[in-house]
This record gives sequence, structure tokens and C-alpha cells, in this order.
Amino acid sequence: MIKTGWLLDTILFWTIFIVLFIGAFMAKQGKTLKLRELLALEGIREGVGRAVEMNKPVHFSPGAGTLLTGDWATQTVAAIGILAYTSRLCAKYGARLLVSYPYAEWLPLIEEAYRSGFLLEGKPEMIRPADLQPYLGGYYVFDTGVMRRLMDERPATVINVGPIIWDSIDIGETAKRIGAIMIGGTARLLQLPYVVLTSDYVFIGEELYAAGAFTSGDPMQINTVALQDLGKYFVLVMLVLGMILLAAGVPIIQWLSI
Amino acid sequence: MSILLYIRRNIDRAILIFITIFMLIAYPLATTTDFGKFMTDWYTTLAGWSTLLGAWAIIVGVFVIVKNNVMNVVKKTKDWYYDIVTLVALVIFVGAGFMGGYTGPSMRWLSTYVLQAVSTALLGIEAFLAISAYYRAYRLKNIEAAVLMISSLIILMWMGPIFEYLIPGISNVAVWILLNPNSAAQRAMFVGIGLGLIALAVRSMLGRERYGGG
Amino acid sequence: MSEKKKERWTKKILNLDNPPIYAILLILLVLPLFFPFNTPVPITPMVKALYDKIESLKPGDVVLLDFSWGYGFKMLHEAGHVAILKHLLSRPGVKIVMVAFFDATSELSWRDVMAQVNIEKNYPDKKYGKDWIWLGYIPGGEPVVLGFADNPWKVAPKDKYGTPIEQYPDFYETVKTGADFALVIEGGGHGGINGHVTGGFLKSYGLKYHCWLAYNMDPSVIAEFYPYYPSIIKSMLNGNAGAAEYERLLNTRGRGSTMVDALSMSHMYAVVLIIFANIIYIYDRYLERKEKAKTATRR
Repeated sequence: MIKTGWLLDTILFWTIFIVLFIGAFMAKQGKTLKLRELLALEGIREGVGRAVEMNKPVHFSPGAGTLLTGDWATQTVAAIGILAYTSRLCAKYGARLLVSYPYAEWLPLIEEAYRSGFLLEGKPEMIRPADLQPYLGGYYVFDTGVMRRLMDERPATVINVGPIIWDSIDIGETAKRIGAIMIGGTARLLQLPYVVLTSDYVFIGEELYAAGAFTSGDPMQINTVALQDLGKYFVLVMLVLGMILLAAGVPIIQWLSI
Repeated sequence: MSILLYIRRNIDRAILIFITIFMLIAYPLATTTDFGKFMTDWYTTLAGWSTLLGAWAIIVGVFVIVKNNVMNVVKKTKDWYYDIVTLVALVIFVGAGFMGGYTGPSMRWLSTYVLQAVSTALLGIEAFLAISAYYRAYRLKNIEAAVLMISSLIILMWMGPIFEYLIPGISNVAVWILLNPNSAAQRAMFVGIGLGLIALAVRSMLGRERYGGG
Repeated sequence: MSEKKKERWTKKILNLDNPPIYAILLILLVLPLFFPFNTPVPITPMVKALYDKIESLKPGDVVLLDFSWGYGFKMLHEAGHVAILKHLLSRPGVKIVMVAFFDATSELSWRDVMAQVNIEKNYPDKKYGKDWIWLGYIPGGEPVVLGFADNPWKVAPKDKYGTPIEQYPDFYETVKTGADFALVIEGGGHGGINGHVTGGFLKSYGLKYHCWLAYNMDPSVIAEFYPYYPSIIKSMLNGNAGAAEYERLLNTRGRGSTMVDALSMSHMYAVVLIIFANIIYIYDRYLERKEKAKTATRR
């Protein structure tokens, strides 16, 4: 029934899936697990504070690769969660929030995330639709458009998180040139080195997905993030066990390829 | 709460849950059985429907571009004349596409002498920005920065063919880095990202991921 | 009157503005155009593997050649594909299925490559429909890439010119699934591992059908594919450097070879700049410690 070599993968996947559901329902019983603080979220708070002190805006962009399908879509969803958090902070402390995005299909979600922060803090007068600027037509159009916007508006903090293409270098370098704090983050491994190189604070890989859960404070979400670590511990144990068994001559690879 | 209101509030999540579970069941099935073939065919069909969203997005994109740029021209906002350029370019490209298709002579001319030239030039900017990023960011501040810098230097040297003659064996070191620490770290990241994705899916299905369709 | 502290010369160099850095890079990139110095190019096992594989192809083998790069990336992939296509066409009896999955502008990429290869003039014995076919751009992203691997002629029942594939028996009868391709070459690499074309090729031809899989890819993404090399991906051409290596193997000189000079210069500049910046940085820290010690002694 299952493709050859996929049985173990399927069992492991469904185990993790069910464990995460169990964790989410554990939260209903009041059992919330602890998470360490994400440094980059602290960076966002610092950045918003800096923007308020300097009377400059905060700029947010969800990465140039915000496609509607595939893995990049999930990164965009996570980025929009961070946008909602940033929007709430900006509303709370009175900073202007500029948002640039590369694809029109995300406009409804981006607009909702942008507005939600201001509405939750009871400051609808701070909502400025003109601050939501699309740069449609491909990532190079987006990159150059955002670079131009940063040079014009000179924000104190630049946040670029999500499925980043070459905006890691473009936006990162421009942020450095205008003296802004740069907060980057992506789960795209090949862009991660550039994000680390150009950013002051970074969401590395899965921290992007965890950030949304973190900022919500919802125990159900926090539990799903914390229980992911069980999967990692399992992989670690399998790695060590596998190395030992392989060295002992046990055909572990064949056994695992059922 | 009336049943209709409940359905209205939860229909999107119900569709999300159904499609997610369906695709998760269908993906590992072998096509040797009738059930497996049926599920795989529907998996391919459902995945293909996602491209319809992309096609629709292009139409939405055109409307957004026209609306934004026309408003900027009417209100005479900053640099509004560039918005006229955008609108004229849109009309020219759409017109060229309608006239001869996307491989017609006018579209080919525009793509070769305008789009390609501009895109390549914009891609070329990366080189300069990357150089200034290297100059500013690669500093021996601590051990981690030193490791980052040294491994980056080795990979940079591997990418430039002349270095193999200046420093024989550098490509072996670079390939070792790519095959061993790089692959190990990437595999670890893949595991973490994969688990993060599963958690995101669980949260979306539970309706806790606000912007994930839940 | 308070003393205005002068900025140390080392700090000035470390905080150097961009224009001088960019100007030197521009000169180094333009110089090889006027004074080409024919950079020697070492042949790597990764590129040699593809060359040897094409040399070992038998008459009747069908090769899948993908043109999945957008118009902005022409400079990265075109040279490699021109060299590979010339090599494939020189092999007797080898059949080539050409296709594009990335976007509509990939068809223009194909046209540019074909204009350089000029089959009608340079390979008059190679006939369309018998030795090669062009399926055009097939929209749909990853599901279509995966579907094409499972059943190519269901996803692409006609070629670009509207002729049903059944009228090309050399292809229709030989290839039923992805496993029937003797060699699969993906051109593009966009999006890395999770790119809809690159990822699709890896999942279908690499992991599912265990084809002999090669990539002519964007150098910036090559590191992401190393976990799969050489077990699943047998060969990777590293942009223009890979193209230059392939041209050396074919004893020709094409665009890859001409780009390699500028490539080497820019990389050498980057390495020298980083080392220079760090020497100045270490010296700057030494001067700072010396200054602090002096100030402490004065107190």
C-alpha cells in the first residue's frame, strides 16, 4: 500500500503529527510548556523603541519570495504573524509602520495583520493605507523599490522576514547605509548566511515558524512549538544509535528502509 | 449559535483540514493499487489547482498596480511621473502579449532588449552590494565570526577557478566543507524546518494560526 | 578648549564609504573585456562526471534537457546549456526532449540557446521529431514537474507546435516514465532545494526514479544541493565556472570561458578585500588597546 522505503517515514510523520495534537490539547488541561525567549523578538521590541525615540518609522517586508504555494507560502504566513506582532508594538508605543510587499495575493492578509495591531491597541487613527506599498513584478522590482523606499523614508528599524530571495543583501546593505537596525529571518537555507551577515538580529530557520506562536502567547501554540523538540531528540538518539549499530555491523540502514 | 453561522465560521477550516489530511494520506501511497492510483491522481489534481490561485493573483496584481499608480498620478504624490511610466509600460507589455503571444516578435523584442537587460543589470547590483557586505561584516570579532569568515573565504576561493592554481588543493578543502559540515548543518536545519512546518500545519488545523487559514 | 579626538586612520579605512570599493570592482570586471588573460580552468570531478556520462550514451538513449531559468538569469546558465547541448548533439543516435517548467520567459531562454547552437546549420543530420523535440513551457509548477516524471505524455500530449507525441515514436515508445530517461539535466536551480522545478526534479527523477540527474545551476544555490551529491545528484555545473570547465572538455571556447576571467578577478578582489579589512581591524584593536593603556597610565 505504501511506497517502498516510505513505511518508517509515514509512521514517524503521523506519530509527530499526533503528538503535536496531544500537546495542543494538553494546553486545554492547563499544562503549558516553557519556551526560551527568541532573541530576534527582543530585537523587534528594541527596534520599535528606537524608532519611537528617533521619531522615525519602522519598515516591514515579508521577503521577496512570498508565493502562494509550497514551502515559501508557509514562511510568508509565519512572517505575517510577526507583522501582526510588530503592528501591535508600533501601535502601543506610537511608531509609524511601513509595509512593503511583492505579491498582490497577500494583500488581504497583510492588510489585516497591519490593521489588527492598531485596532487591538485602540488606535485606529494611526492606520495609514498609503503605508502599505506593493512592489509588484518580481523580486528585483521589489528589491529596488524597497531600497528606494528605505533611502527616502530612512526608518530606524528594518524588518525583513520570510522567504527571502536576494533582498537579504539588498535590503540589509541599504539598512546599514541608513543606519537602521536590521532584523532578518528566513527558513531558506541558502539565504540564511546572507541574512546572518547583514542583520543585527536573526530568526534562524524554524524560529520563524515558532515566532508566530510565541508572540500570540496562546498555550496551545506554545505547546506545539515546544513539542517539536521531541522530534529533534528522537533524531539525535537515532543518529547516535545508528552510528553505533552501523559500526557494529548491524544492517540498520536496510532495516530503516522498509 | 445557529448552524448556518457555525458552518460559515468554520467552513474554511473544514476545507483546510480535509485537504491536509487527504494529501497527507495520498502522498506516500504506492500507485500499484487502485486506491493508491485514485488518491495519487487526486493529489496531483488538487496540487495543480493551486496554480489557479497564482493565475488569479496576476489579475489581482494588475488591478492593484493600476489602482495604486492612477491614484498617485491623480493626487500628484511624490515622483508621480514615474507612475505614468509604470502605467505606459504595463499597457505596452500587455498589448505586445495580446498582439503576438508571449513568444511573438514584439514580446520577444521587449523581453530581450528591455526586460532581460534591466533584470541582468539589477542582478548585477548584487555583486556590488555583496562586496560591501563582505567588507563590513567579515571581521574577526570572536571564534564564531572567525569560523564564518574562514569558511566563506575558502568557498569564495573555490568559486574562482584561478585559485586552484594559486593555492593547489583549495577546491578539495572547499568540497570537504560543502560535503561535511555544510551537509550536516543543512540536514539538521531540514529536520528542524520540517518539524516547524508540521507544527504550523497542526496550528492551522486547530484554528490557532491566525494567518494560516485557521 | 576641549580636544577634538581625531579618528584613527584604521577606523577611517574600516568605515570606508562604498564608492571606492565599487569603483575598483567595476574596473576589475571590465578589464578582462579588453585584456582577456585566459584564466586556466581546472576540471572538477563533478563536471567530468557529466561529460563521461554523455560520452557513454548509446544510440536510442533519450535525454531530458530542461530550460528553467528566467530572462534575468541568462548569463548564469546559457553558456553551460549551449556546451551540453552541443555535446549531446554530437553523440550519434541520442534523442533529446527539451522542455521548460519555470515560467513563460524560459521559452525565450530556449530560443537564445538554440540560436547559439544553430542545429540546422551545425548539425544538419539531426532532425526535429527524430533526434530532438521541444515541448515548450509547461505551466503548473511542482505538481506538473512530478506529473511529467510519472507520465510525460499525459502531461505533454503535444509538442510546442501542436503535433501529438504519438507521431514521434522514437520518444513515445521509448519513454513511459521518468525512469526511461537515460540522463536528466535541469537548467536553473532557482529556489534551491524547495524551488518548484529544482525540488520537483530532485523528488521525482532523483529520489523516486533514481535517474542519472545533473544540474546546470545558479552558483548561489549549489551549497544547498551538496547533501544530495553524489548519491542522488551525479553532477552539478557551477554556473559559468562549470560551463568553462565543460567547454575545456569539449576543446572549445564559449561564453563560459570569457566570463571566467571576470569571475576570477571579482573573487580575488573579494578575498583580498576581506583579508585586508581584517588586517586593518586587528591593527585597529591593537592601537585601541595601546591608547587605553596610555590613558590609564596618565591617570
